[in-house]
Amino acid sequence: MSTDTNLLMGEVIEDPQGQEKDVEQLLVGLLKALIAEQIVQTSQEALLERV
Amino acid sequence: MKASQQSIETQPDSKKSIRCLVIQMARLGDTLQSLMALRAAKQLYPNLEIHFLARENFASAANRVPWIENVITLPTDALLGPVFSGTKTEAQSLVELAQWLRPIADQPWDLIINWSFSDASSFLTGLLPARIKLGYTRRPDGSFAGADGWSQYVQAIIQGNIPQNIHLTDVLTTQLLTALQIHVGDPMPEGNAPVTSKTFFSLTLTEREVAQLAGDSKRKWVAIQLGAGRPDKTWDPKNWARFALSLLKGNQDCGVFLLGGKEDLEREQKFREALNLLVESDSEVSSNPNRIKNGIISFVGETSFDLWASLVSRSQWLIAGDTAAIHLASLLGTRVLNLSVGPVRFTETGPYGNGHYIVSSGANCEGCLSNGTIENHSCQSDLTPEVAYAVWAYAAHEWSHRRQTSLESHFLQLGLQDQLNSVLVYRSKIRPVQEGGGVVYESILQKSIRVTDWSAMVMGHVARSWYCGWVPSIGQEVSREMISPPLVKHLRELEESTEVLSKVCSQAILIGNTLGHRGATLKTPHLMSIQEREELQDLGKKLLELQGLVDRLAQTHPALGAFSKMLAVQMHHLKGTHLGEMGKETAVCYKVLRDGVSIYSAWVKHTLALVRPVALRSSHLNLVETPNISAEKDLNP
Repeated sequence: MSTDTNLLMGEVIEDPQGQEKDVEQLLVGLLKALIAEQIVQTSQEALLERV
Repeated sequence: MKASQQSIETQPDSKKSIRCLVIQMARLGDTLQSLMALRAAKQLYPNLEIHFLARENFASAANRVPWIENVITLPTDALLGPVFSGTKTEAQSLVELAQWLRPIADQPWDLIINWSFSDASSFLTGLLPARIKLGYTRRPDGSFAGADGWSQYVQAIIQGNIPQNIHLTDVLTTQLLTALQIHVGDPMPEGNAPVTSKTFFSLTLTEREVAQLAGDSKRKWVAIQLGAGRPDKTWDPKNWARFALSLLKGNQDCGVFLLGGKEDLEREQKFREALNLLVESDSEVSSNPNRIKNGIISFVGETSFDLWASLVSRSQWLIAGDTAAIHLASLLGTRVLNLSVGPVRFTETGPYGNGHYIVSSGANCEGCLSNGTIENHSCQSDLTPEVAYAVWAYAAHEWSHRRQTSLESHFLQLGLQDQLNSVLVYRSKIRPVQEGGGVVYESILQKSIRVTDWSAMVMGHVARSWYCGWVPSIGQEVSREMISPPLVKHLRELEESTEVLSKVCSQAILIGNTLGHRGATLKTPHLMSIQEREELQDLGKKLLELQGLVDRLAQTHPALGAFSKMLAVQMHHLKGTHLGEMGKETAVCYKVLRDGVSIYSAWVKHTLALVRPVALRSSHLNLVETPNISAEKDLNP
């Protein structure tokens, strides 16, 4: 059974520094995701302590 | 698999480095598993220049690895603490985050691998420029993407809680090595040395210093990691006390290192109280309690990574629940007895290497399934200290019995055979490359396999066919004796549904290809006749209906949920910008799915065929004897 190498090579970017992206949007997303992770972790720890 | 292109212009034996950033924002256990995968890659591709990004609190292990070029720490507490306390706004923290990120983003990365598999890390990977990215990332429009096949497998199957039996270390290793082979070329031929080693880390403590801390150098030390990330993933301290007492009573040449962080000090206190009571009431040791107490040296509360790693390295065995310590022991080549309690999947995160033992409960645990809302964990009460000690004694003396004595006989000799009914015992083994490689956990008790174990085994095969282009003969790991009535019932219910699923996939391939063809024949993708538009809409609607059918099959048979989830992930990752392209990609996705379904279906048929009655013919007696009907009834509930 053959395997599609396109599936395994990952994302290939010809010009990484020149790639257009909304840096602010991604930064905000990163910060919010970090905050959300912290909240979830704290809640889980509190739940397990109660149990 | 041949290297189809080389995006990174270097050969493994050239002097040009491959600048690689590994993002690992999860906890210490994940870092340790990542280090094992990286070691394998570094041996095969020596010019890999590895930079490791970890959270500040979990970077200590990476800091001790000599072949890592640089460790970058994410100062999570400093960044988020002021936001939670209200002393800084999110906008202010955003500026600090950008300032932290700038020097990393300015560096020319050849390869970024995100092994965190989290939302936050996907944003980080999306932000940083690199020629090749693996793992979770973000597209330029900010939407989520799994950059490669294995990442999509993690998203759909592993994080989708579908039973599967490929160890996470093997997923990471295969993901990285495959990408390197595609982009860089074949690895160094001499790069297959063992990855694990007592000298994996460059530790600051000398052997002499550790020996001084450890005291009696003639003892064989067994390390016990008291705690875990969650209380339900380890034993109650009273159980640990019973285990420690059995071990010290039965093995006078052994001693115990008690390990744990500051958060385990209370646990240690309870351990000591329980041990004192046990010693006082045990006539064998009550007259000389110091023999037991002197056999235990506690390092609980010591948080130095160097000391912890040194002690685990010095130990003959580590006994622990699902905790980072088992990965540390795996890296250092210390044998592990993993007491697999709590909501864990040891097939994914168990000890890695040859000769480790895993003991788990044989029954479903309501506490584990409730995700913390139910206090009682039957998985903990099933796994008694007596059982754990007996398994350890068997494993520790393999050199004498060479496993010619079965575990069942060993338990019979100890009078504990009844307790074996409620547990499962496995031994880890690294498969030869020609058998697929990676770690596998072989049951050493003659018991029938559970539905989840069967499903996990099959899913592992499907994954290997999808991403490694390799699959062994169907069913070679299953024999008639292993098959139970519940498994037969489950597979009979599944048999027809897998056939239906295969037909749905075939239909979707046809429609996808038709859509692709129709889309390709349009003069422009934006202008078309009303008839063409209606035809394309109709085809699209049919594809949606078929996807809905796959979801409904999965709802009826949760075992088929793997395919429903994988389909959803694949549909999310369609790359085409025009209808024709997306139609063709959809057809390819369903073809991959159908290949997986056909392997699943073959496994179902093979397993059911194993339990069909077998006619025996005897030439002396000239009889055709069918196996006894009661045995048939046993297999047919």
